[in-house]
Amino acid sequence: MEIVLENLTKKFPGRGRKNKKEVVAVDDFNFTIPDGKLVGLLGPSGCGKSTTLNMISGLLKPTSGKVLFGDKDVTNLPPEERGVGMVFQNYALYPHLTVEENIRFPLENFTGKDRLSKEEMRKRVEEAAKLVHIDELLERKPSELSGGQQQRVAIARALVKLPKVLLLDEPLSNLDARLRLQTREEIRRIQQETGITTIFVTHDQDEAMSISDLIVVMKDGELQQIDSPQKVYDDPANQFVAQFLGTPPINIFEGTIRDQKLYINEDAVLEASGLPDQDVVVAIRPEGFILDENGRMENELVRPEVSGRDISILFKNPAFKNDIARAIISSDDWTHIPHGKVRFDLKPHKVYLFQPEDGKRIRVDLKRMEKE
Amino acid sequence: MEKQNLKAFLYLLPAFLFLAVFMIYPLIDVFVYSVEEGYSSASQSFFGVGLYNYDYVLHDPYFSRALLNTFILVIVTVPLSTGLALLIAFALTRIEKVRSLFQTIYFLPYVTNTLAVGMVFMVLFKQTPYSEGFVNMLIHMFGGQGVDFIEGPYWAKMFVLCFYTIWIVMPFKILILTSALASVNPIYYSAAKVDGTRPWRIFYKITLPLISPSVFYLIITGFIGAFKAYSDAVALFGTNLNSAGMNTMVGYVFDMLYRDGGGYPSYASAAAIILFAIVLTITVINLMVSKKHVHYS
Repeated sequence: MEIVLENLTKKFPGRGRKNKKEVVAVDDFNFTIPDGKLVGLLGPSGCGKSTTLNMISGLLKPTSGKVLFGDKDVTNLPPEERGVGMVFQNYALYPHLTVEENIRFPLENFTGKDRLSKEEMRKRVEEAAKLVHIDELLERKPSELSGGQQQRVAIARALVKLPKVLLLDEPLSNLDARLRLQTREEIRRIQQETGITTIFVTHDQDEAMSISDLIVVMKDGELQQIDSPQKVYDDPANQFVAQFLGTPPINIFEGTIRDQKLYINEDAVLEASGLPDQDVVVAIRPEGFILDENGRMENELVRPEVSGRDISILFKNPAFKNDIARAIISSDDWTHIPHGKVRFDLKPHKVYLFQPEDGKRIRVDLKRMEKE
Repeated sequence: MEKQNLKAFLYLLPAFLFLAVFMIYPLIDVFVYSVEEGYSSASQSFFGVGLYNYDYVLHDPYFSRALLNTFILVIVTVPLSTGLALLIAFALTRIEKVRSLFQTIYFLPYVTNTLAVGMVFMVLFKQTPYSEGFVNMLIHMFGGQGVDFIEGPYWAKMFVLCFYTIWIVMPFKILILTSALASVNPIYYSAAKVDGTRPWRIFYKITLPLISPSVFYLIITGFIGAFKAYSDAVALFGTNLNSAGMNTMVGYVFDMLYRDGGGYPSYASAAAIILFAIVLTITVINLMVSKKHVHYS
């Protein structure tokens, strides 16, 4: 089921006397989620991603704009008529019901011609339980399950009524680190086995990158970028997206363009042909540095940090906005450098320029400088 | 280790002494009284030990009347007051604007003086040479036949007693249930809504089980409270409850001890033990039923 959001906006009224200003949680969203894809809504907390999810589910009514499932406008339909399955952040399993009763609960709501016989219900529950590998646990109460198992039960309960869309609100945030890795693969597998259009909300870029077909990056209720994970990483639309994605985070320098060259702290590092002279924000991915004793960018070495496969070089540069910048190089390229200076050349495709005032991307074809 | 135990017992001693003197000793004493036949408080003597006191009490028509009254009171008021309180508490969670105002109104009877409440009921139900009572006035207005609620037929008096009891016990129940309902995580309702659960089913399958510990608590204390009813009847029908035919079990015990010179501690004790046995039985049944239907998280 293709999902289309048209000018979707949600405003919450201000609360109390002191705080009358209304809050725009979601501001004029327009995008299409293709059928059968796994989509991650990504953004820092408070960016409106859960609000967006709740408007798709029907639990919240948008202030204006439309939600379409396929060609059908569902904006004014209540959740139950939209055919969505939802997994909540803390799973919302009914504590007084067993796993089996929890999964069966949505089926028992069917009335009229949709009504299922006991036998059909049992079969459906069993299928859903098998899909998420919890068919051994049907007799237990939620309190007797681990977090990961509860998560699976919640997914089974969402899937048992064969929804057209599956929505997951921060599905992994209540799990510990190891289970998180395992469960996100599980979500990916289930999504691919069922082929159901799935939208999940997360503030963890790792999570979003690793399993999504498509990432929707949001900030302060505004859409920043929609692309495949690799594209979002390699070609960020603005400074926020560049900074939000990637661990370790991208390094931000103050730079200038002079004579069609990019300068960082008086070092001309890259050719920037076609750009007028201006101040720019230079963002360089940690893997965008090439260690070279004749490199064009001069920095002060803080210390190398060895982590086996690769090596982080921590360094200082007057143009760097925070305290210590980080470059990551393969340990094969590592040669011991004495204390003092460290010099880099830059990989042009790992360097992005942004406008200092609004963080908008400056699109330019950066090139390495000719050797003199 | 031994020394520690000794210390612990020492700390417990004051509470234990207090309980022993005011709870345990009287309990045993009541049981002893109840089997002493022909006990005279003047001479502090008795003829023998046996079950005669029980036999007497069980054949006393006043006791049967008190037993019947108490049972009716329990069976009518406990389910009705709990059900109504649940309904009101549920409605209170649904309205948003004037909720605290309504909460105050519903809680007022709890902090109102019993005598003042009694006065109000007099105005509502009592016939005097000058007035027929507010409720009778209403009945007449709609063309009905008035009835004397305080000194009239048994059913009318019983109605007033039940009405009064329900009215008195409701505020506390509403308070408990309102807080129980508020403590249900709204995420369950969202989940149920996404799954298209009908309102009645949400209430019956989700809300009720989740607040069942509170409901159960109210039912148990409601039963015990209703079995112990006495002062409400006095407030409505005066102190001579036997002649009004509105006595309760506790009232019967009290009358045996003190009324008309009193002086029947043996009969009073036997009646008290019977009351205890009944309350114990009902509570045990309640506990057994609750095992199946109450969900503690």
